[in-house]
Order: sequence, then structure tokens, then C-alpha cells
Amino acid sequence: MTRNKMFLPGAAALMLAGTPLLAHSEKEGTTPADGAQLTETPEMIHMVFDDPMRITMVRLVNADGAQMPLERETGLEPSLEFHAEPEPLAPGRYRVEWRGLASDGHPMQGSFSFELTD
Amino acid sequence: MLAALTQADAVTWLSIVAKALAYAATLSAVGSVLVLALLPGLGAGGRDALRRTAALSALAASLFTVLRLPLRASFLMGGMWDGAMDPAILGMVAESPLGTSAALRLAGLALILCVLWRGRTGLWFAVPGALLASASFAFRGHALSEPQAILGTLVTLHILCLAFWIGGLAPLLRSLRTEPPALAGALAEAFGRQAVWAVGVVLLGGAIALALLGAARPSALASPYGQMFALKLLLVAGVLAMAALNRLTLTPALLAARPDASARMRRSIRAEAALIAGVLLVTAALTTVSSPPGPGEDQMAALVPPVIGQVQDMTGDAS
Repeated sequence: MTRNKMFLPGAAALMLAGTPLLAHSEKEGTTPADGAQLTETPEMIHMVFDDPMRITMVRLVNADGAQMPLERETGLEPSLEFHAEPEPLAPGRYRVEWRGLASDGHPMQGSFSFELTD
Repeated sequence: MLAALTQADAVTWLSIVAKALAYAATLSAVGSVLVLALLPGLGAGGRDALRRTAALSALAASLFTVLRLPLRASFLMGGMWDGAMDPAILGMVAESPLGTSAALRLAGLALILCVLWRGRTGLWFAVPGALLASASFAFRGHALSEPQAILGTLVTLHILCLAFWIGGLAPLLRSLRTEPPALAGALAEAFGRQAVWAVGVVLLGGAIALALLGAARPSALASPYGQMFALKLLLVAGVLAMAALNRLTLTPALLAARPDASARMRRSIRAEAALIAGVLLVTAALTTVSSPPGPGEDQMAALVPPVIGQVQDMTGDAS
């Protein structure tokens, strides 16, 4: 048996290294919904997860990338829901970006957008 | 796939590189110990060189493993460098499966350093260290999914097998460089005999895992994860093509002690190592910037398309 004979099974084993397995906790919904068109500043930025998530960072940015004030109402504790309150916003497109640690220890990130019209 | 990579920030790129280097160094450390323990026919010079390789790899693996913790903390704080040193976030990372896995791996790597203790005594500590370092991969990522015990066993075996393969490259190169072709050929044969059983077990385990999880779906190719996985398959196919060339031409030439056989086999092993490095890098990337599509994701996406934003799994590490 030469070492070459192990290339094929070994390589196949490498292929298995990235086998898709199970999904992690996911964002189930947001308020405002992604792509929503609003006529006034949302009272609350709200995210719902299917498993407890520790949101470590959240920011609200406008179309120019400038960060808007956002007051967290949910702390760093694992939670199925996250709330943050924005200050009154001018018309335009906004994007909420967040990062967090899922209940299974996976770091997660995501974003959603909404538009404020006159 | 490219979108996922181009959107990655500097911290994410650093995380990919650190993860790939941690993979490579850990596999080299573990593999060197396994080859020392299992492969007959290594001369005294070869064993000394392998001990040094194991120790240096263990030190490098420790460095890159530790580096991953502040990088993770930085990611969680939005890619800000200040986040890397935030005590609250670092504590959160340390308490996560990444912290547990890192602690186990560091303990294993410390035991591997005992390999510098010549003779069998050093191996009495280094081999358990190699097993512990391999098992550390089973304490995070998808290996923690149910059935956890089975998946954890499969992942550990997978790592041990790959490590033995990678750990065999350096001593084979050394033998090809310093010993007559017939001796190098004998070493290669012995290496293959030892490795084939472990590889067989891992393949069987992989097949069982696939059956358990039903994960291989053509629709996955539409996702960044699937596309990067396809790139990984291409690299693996390259290894296979080279292996066929080796088997049909280079190994017989080596065993027949033809004059140019050693040089050609050395070039081939270096190319093989480069391809394996590519596989590890792609694995690090795909488990960092993409998420494996879950079993019911197609149906869910059809039901609630706009509500779910861009969610990316940033680790995975089933490998």
C-alpha cells in the first residue's frame, strides 16, 4: 500500500469537513420589516429571534453611512427579542446593522433596511 | 460567494487567516506526534526533526488559537479594534464554545510539547495531547448539534486522520531529500499502510453523518456557502488528480530507484501541501463568512422572503 492510495479517501474526508449541517438561531422578524416604507420615525427598532441571542452591537445608519442615535433597551443578556429606540429621523433610507452571539455560541450578523418618506 | 467575501471587513479577513493558520498548525502538531508514535522506519534524524516540527507547530497553533478570541470579540463589536480588548465581550467569548474549544486545544498543545522529551516517555504525554487537541474541534460549531456524541466522534476522527496525513508530509520530504529512494519508498509504503485504516473509518463516519443530516443538496450551490464548498471540491479534485499521477508514475519510479524519482516526488509533495493549504484556507473562509443552508431553508425562504435580513453565520467549524 503506498501513501498515494490514501489520497482519495483523505481528500474525500476533506470534502466532508464543510458538510452543511444544522442551522443556527435566526432572526424571525423585524420591526420595521426589511424594505418597509414609513411616513414617520418608527417608535421602536424590534428584532425577534427563534433562539436567545445576545446582541453585542447594533447601529442605525443613514444612506450616507452616518450613524444615528439609537438607545438600547435590551442589554447583553440572551434574549428572544431585542428593542432599541431611535430618535426622530429625517426622510431617507436607513439601515439597521447588528451583531450578536447565538445561543449555540455562533457569532451572527445581519441587517435590514427601511425608508422614511414625507 | 464573491459578494460574501468582498463585503467582509478587515477583522473578518484576519479571522479567516488566523483560523486557517490555527487549522494548519494544529494539524501539523497533532500529525507529527501521531506519525512519531505510529510510523515505523523513521531514522533517529527523522525523529528528531519531527519532534521539532511538532513542538514548533504546537507553539504556532497556540498563538493563532489565542488570537482568535480577541478577533471574535472585535467582530462582535462591529469590527472595531477597541472591541478586541473589551472585558465584557472577551468574557462572553471565553464562555462561548470557542473559549471551551480553545482551552481544550491549548491543554492538548501543551502536552504535545512533551514530545521534545526524547524516547517513549515524551510520547506518553504527547499522544494524549494530540487526542485532546483533535477533540477540541468537536466542542464547537456544528459538532455541538444533535446527535452530538456521534458528530463529535466523527469530527475528532476526521481531524486525527487529516493530521496524520499532513504530519506525514514533512518526514517524507526529509527522507526523499536525505535518504536513498528505496528507503524513502519503504517509508512511503509504511505510511500508507498505517493511514489507510484511519481514513477508512473517517470516510465511513462521514457517510453516516451525511445520512444523519441529509445535508447534500444541489440547491445549496445557489448559496455562498455552497459555492465556496464547490471551490473546495475543485481544490480537492486537484489533489486527487495529482495523487493519480503520483500513483501511476512517481511511486513506481521511486521504488525502482530511478535517478530523478526523488526530486519529482518532492515537487509533487510540495504541490500537494500547497493544495491542502488552499483547502484549509477555503474551509476557514466558508465557515467564517457563510452559513450552511439548513434542511428546511428553501421552504422558509419562499414563505417569508423580505422579513429575514442578511444573516450570516460567522463560524461553523465542523471541520
